[in-house]
Parts: sequence; C-alpha cells; structure tokens
Amino acid sequence: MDIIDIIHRCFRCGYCKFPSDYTDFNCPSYFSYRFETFSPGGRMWLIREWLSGELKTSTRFQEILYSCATCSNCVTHCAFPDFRDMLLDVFRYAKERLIDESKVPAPVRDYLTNLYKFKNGFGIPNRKRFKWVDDEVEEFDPKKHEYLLYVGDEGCFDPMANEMSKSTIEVFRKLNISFGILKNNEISDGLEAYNLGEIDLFKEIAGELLKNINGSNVSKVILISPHTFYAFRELYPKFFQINFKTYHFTQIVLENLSCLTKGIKHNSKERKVSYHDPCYLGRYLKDFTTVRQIIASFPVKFLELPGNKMDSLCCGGGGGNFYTSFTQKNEYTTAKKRILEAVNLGIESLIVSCPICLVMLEDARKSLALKYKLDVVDISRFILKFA
Amino acid sequence: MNVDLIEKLKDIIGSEFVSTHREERFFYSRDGGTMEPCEPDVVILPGDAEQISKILYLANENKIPVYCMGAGLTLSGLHRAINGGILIDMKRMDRVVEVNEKSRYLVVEAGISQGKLQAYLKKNYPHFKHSMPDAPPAATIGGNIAIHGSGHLSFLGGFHSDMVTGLEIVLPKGKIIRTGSCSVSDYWFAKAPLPDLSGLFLGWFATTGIITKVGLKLYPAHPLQDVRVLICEDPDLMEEILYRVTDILIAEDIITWMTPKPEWARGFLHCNVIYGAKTKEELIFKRDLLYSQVKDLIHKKVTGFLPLLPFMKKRFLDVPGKDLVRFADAKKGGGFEYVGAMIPSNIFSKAYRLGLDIAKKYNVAYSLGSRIIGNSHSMMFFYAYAFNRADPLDVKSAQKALHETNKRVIDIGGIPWKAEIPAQKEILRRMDKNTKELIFNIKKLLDTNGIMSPGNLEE
Repeated sequence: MDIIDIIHRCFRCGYCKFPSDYTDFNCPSYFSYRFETFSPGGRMWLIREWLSGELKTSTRFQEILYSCATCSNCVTHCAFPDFRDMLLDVFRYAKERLIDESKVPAPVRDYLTNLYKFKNGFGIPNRKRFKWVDDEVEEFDPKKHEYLLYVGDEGCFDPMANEMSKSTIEVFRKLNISFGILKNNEISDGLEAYNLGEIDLFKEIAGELLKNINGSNVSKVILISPHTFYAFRELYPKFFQINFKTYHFTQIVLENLSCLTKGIKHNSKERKVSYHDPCYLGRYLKDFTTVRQIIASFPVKFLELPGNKMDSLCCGGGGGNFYTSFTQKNEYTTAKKRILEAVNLGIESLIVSCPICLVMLEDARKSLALKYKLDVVDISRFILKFA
Repeated sequence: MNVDLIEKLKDIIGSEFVSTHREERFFYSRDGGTMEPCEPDVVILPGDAEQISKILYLANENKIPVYCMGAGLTLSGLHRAINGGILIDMKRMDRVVEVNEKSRYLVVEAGISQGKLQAYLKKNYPHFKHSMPDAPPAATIGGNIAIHGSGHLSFLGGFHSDMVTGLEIVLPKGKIIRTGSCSVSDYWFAKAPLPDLSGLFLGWFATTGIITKVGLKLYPAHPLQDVRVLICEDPDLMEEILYRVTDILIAEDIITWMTPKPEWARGFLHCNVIYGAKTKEELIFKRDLLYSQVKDLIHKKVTGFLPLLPFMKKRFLDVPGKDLVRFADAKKGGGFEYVGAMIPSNIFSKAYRLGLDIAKKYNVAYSLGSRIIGNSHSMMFFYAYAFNRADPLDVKSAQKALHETNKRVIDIGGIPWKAEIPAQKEILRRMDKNTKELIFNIKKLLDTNGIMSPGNLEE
C-alpha cells in the first residue's frame, strides 16, 4: 500500500493520542504542545494538505513534523488496523520531502551535519569515542570474544548515558561475559538519520557500520540502546544482509544473572522501585519481561507505573528529539509527567534500560527540583548495588 | 486580527498556548464531516475559567467573534469559526474537581475527555460510571452535554444534558456564573429547585456562553454486564419490540442497528438490550424478564435472540467501541457524517424507511440505528453516511444525502441533533414564531455584541 493511498483515511478520531485505558494523553508531542496539529491525526491532515500544495512549508510545519518522538503509541492505538502500521512511514515520508527540499529546521540540520562529518550525532571526532574505556576492554577478536558490544553514540558521548555504558561493562565483567568492542571502527547506527528523513545518510552510515562489524567476523552482537537494538533487529534487515544474532544487553544479563543473585534474601524494608519501558524495546520489539525478571531477582518492592508495556509513556527522546529537543520546548513534557507519576506512587528508584530514557528522565527530575528523593537509575547500576 | 490583540491573548494565557500559525488555523477550520472549512484568526488553549473570562472581556471590547471546541468530533462543523476570530480549544481544562460519593455526582472541568473521566472513575471509584457517548474517547464532557449528547446509560438517565447537576459558565461579557444548587450551596447536587438556568446554555451552540465546569450524575458500575440482541425483519414489528423491552426498565442502554455489512446482518433490524446486575441471580432474573416480554413473538417466529459468540458480546459491551469509528473507513476514505435525529419513539419505522430510501437515492454507504433515550420517550435515530475524502464528488454526494435527511426528518416529526448550519436554519424556519423570537431575544440579552459563535442559531 502506498502512502498516497492512505493519507486521506485518517478520521482524526483521536484514539492515537491515548493509551488503551484513555487515562491521559500518551503522545509526547501532543502532550507537550496541546494543539491538535501536534497529534498524529493532526500530522496526517497537515501532510495531506502540504503534499497537495495548499499548505506551504513553514517553521511551524517543521516543528510539528520533527516533534514526533516515533514512540509508536499512535501505531499501537489507532482505530484503523488497515493502515495504522504506516503512520510513522507517512511522517517520515514528509520529512524525506523536507530533506529533499533542504527545508529542515536548524537542530535537524546540525545533527545530520554532525553525523555526516563525524559519524556520530555529537559532533565529536570519532577517535574520541572510546576514550572512556580502560585497557581491559579489548577490541573485538572472534577467537577471544563471544560477543561484540556495540555501545552507540549516546552511550559513548553523553556523560550521563556514558555512566550507563560503564555500569553495563562492569556488570558484564562480574558475569564473566566475553565481549569486545569495535573501538575506532564503531560509528553511529544511523537510526536517527532514518527517523529524521535522511534515508541516504542512514544507508551510508549503517552500511559502513555493518561493513566494519562484518569485517570483524562477528556472530553475536549486544546492543546497549533499545533504539540501536531495534535498528539492528528490524530496520537493517530491510536494507542489508545481516549475518549475526543481536541481543539487548539486558537479555544477556538475565541469562547469566544467577551467579550474582545466589543467596540474596528479601526483607521487609525493601526499596520501592519501578521500571520505565523504553518504546523501542517495549512497543517496538515487545520485550516487556526481561528487565522485570532481572528486577524481580533482587530484594526490592516492584510497582508498575500507570502507563506501562504497550501503554508506556515515552520520555520524548526518540525520533531524533534527544538531539533536537522539539518535544522539550514547552514546560509540560512527558518526561516530567513520568517523574511525577513515580513520585505519586512513592517510588524510590525509577529503573530504565535505555540511555536516552536515562538522560531525559534524569534531566526532568532535576528540572522539577523535587524535595522527594527519587533516583533515576539504569538497570546495570541497579544490579551493581547488589552485586 | 491585530498584533496588539494577539499579544494581549498571550499575556492572558501564555504565548505557547496561542497560535496564529496557518497550520493550526487550517486544522481547526474543519472536522471529519462534510461542512466547508472556516478558519479562525487565532487558536488558543486557555487553562481556566478566569482566563476565558478575560478573553471574552477582550473579545467584547474589540467585537471579535469567539468559537469554542471540545474535541471537534460533532462531524457537523459546529466549532468552525464562521466569521473568523478566536477559536478556544477547551482541552487543557481537564481536571476532576470533586467527587461526591454519597450523592453520586462529580464536578469536572468541561474540557476533560470522556476517556480520561472513564479511566479516572475505573481507578478511583470502580463502583461508579458516567454515561459515555458512542463518540471516540477524546470527546469532551462539556462539548457533549452542550449538544444534548446521549450515551450508554441514556435509557437509564436520559440525555447527557439531563444528567447535569450544575454548571459553571462564562457569560459572553466575561462574567462567571453558576447554575443549579452550586449557585447557592457548596454542593453541586441538582438543578432543582431553582430556576433552571442551565437550559440557557445546553443546546445553544455556544451562543450564550462557554461552559467551564460541569456537575454530572454518576451511576452504579455493576460487576456483571450482559447484552442480548433481538432481531426481526419488519420495522413496524421492531417498533413494537422496542415498546415491550422498554416497558420493563431493566436496561441501561437500548440501541437498534441496521447495516448492510457484515453480510449476515443485511436486511435485519437488531435491538441490543444491555443491562447490568450486582449478582448472577439478578442477571438471570433480568434476562428471563426480557425473554418474557417477547416470548409470544418468538413463538410466532417473527423475532428471536441472536446467538452471540463471546467476541461479539465483548464488542457490543465495549465502551467506547472502536468499531463505530471504523465506519469512517467503509469507503477507504476517512470520512463519515451523520444526521442524528431526535425523534419520538412512535415513528421509528418511518425513520428507518427514510434512511433506506435516501441511501439508495444517493448510493451512499450507510449505517442506520437508534439509541433509546430516557425510558423511550424519545430516541436518537442516526443516519450515518461514509464518504471518501479524496473524492470530491463522493463528499458532495454524502453532503446532499445529509441535507435531504435533515429536511425529511423534520417532515416526519423529528429534529436534527447537533445540526449543521443549514439544518439549524431549517429548524428555525419551522419553529414556532414566538419561541424563535424568545431565543433571539435571550441571545441578544446575553450577547449584546453578537460575538458568541456567530453564524449559529441564526436565520
């Protein structure tokens, strides 16, 4: 089915904005901006008008398109099964057209320029990518290592996300997982270029990355970011031949966790924790159990957040928004709402399994300046508290 | 609209909630129905009644038209800014203010969505429910009561406007008032025994003020719920069946539906009787009572209960039901519009035949049905016509079918609900002269400058 065949079929009924129980608005951009135009239905109607030439490209139109966090809540909850799977394709198609016309907003342009020049979205020379690792982290050698660990841009360059990468490596060591990294051959996964509509750049970057991986004779790849995991698992096979297996790091941790949890006893003063499902691991790849099983292995009291699993509330960092911040422009953000939901539940540690969620939620926590003590903690750091 | 005025609006509600962008003006200028778009000059999202008060004061000073929108789901284009001006999107005002358990009512801000309120009650007061319309969950409480909506407890409680216990309203000149008990007491328990001022704002197409808070009746959410579906082929007999099943007062909701798709439903008239119970015994009692009402007809083999598979039962009991919205894709075209005609129950068969006649004449994909309101004193009979938005001729055809249905509904004694502008004019044309004069005088009295939803309720 072609995009043109479905663009007029949106009834603007609004199911796309909600979770399955309709508790509150679940679309990050609509939640933040509150104009109907920032809802998935709004985008559908505007794009149709824009493609017909009745609506001109404007800064507002760009903002509307690029504030989509690609969280897939709309795909999950749209009332029309015949075409709901194509909603994000329609939005991306419009972004592709903007790229073709060289009419992208400055933050998008800057991100793509960085990606093109530096092969990462941070605009930092790629040779500095692994400056943070110690000598014990070796370059992947198929004779020595079972897994290749792909860390990703955020995990290498963002200071807070980098802490998650370090924790994960520490957990791997404690679990005796044999892994190596690509070192200078690791570059961006290209996913955000795809989400931002720069498909050629995506193909270029992802193609080069896969060439580097394939050149290392890899059979198993572990990904830290759920976004990257999705790219490797679902997106790359549409464009490239993939000859290795992929795992989210939590899946490998769970397989090997028993050696860390022996003898752990539950007690009556357990810390209240919850888990924030990342969209790309949850709604996209439907893995809702791995992290919950890991958490259940430790002496904590687990409570579910109001929107969880397929109804999870996106942190607002997807679709390139971690870099471009369109979802963070207004005072009301889903990340802040998420923090307040955790506070209302009396949660002491909010656990995440995605470096982007970690940064978005931690930033939101800080900006709320809460008196209440809540940690936003990545799952590896959580494990290390007990290990 | 001049820049100074826009700046003043920004001062009142914050610049992020005021838009003069073409994108917002485009989207808010229309809905999913067939009415021609009308662009506002500015779209705003106020956060409370005080802000709306200031906006209306400003609009009066400058004689700027003001229109109001909930979720924009009427399909009759009622929120369209016919004369331009300010369009207020109410959905930021979506808080639950109060729940009075013992008196079974709650108070909400008018922009709260039906879905959010349903979820709130399920979580915090699972023994209560409010009446949900068949509209998508995005529909707002304020918008729905303002148009005399109805829903899945309407057999029990009447129109949603009948379930109102009190209102907070911003009058056209900016004054904030309350109607009902809350104008005297701290409690929002009833409209009586005071002069029922809420009637000045319900069914007036936002020409007399903007509803900002609603007191609403709550009903028991029974743990057990069941549906039985009676079928027959004769519309006159369905009228008789409806009279019988409404005579025993067991139902929460009674709806009829007639549609050519799916194939097994073609040619049959269906009547869903939905009832709840606290115990299994009560449920069986109600089921048996229902059966006894139509037993003789079943024995004559002129009606019967449709055997329901569990998935079918679930679909009929789901509130809201996504299936209804999917009718918009019947022609793979993202559009449907309907005349929801309020009719007396005794003209059901006439209303049904009228629908078939028009669907045939205009060759439109149709769905017909009705919801019994308040123990069968009336019903909302709907004529839904799907169209393909990408095909202008198809849109035109649905529009023609719609306009003809409106006229013919009035001919047989009904009144179009949430009427589009042409239907509003037709209703006024046929209205008692003195009544019409009173309506216009009241409008003039409350809205001296004629800024509230101009174009509506006008000849």
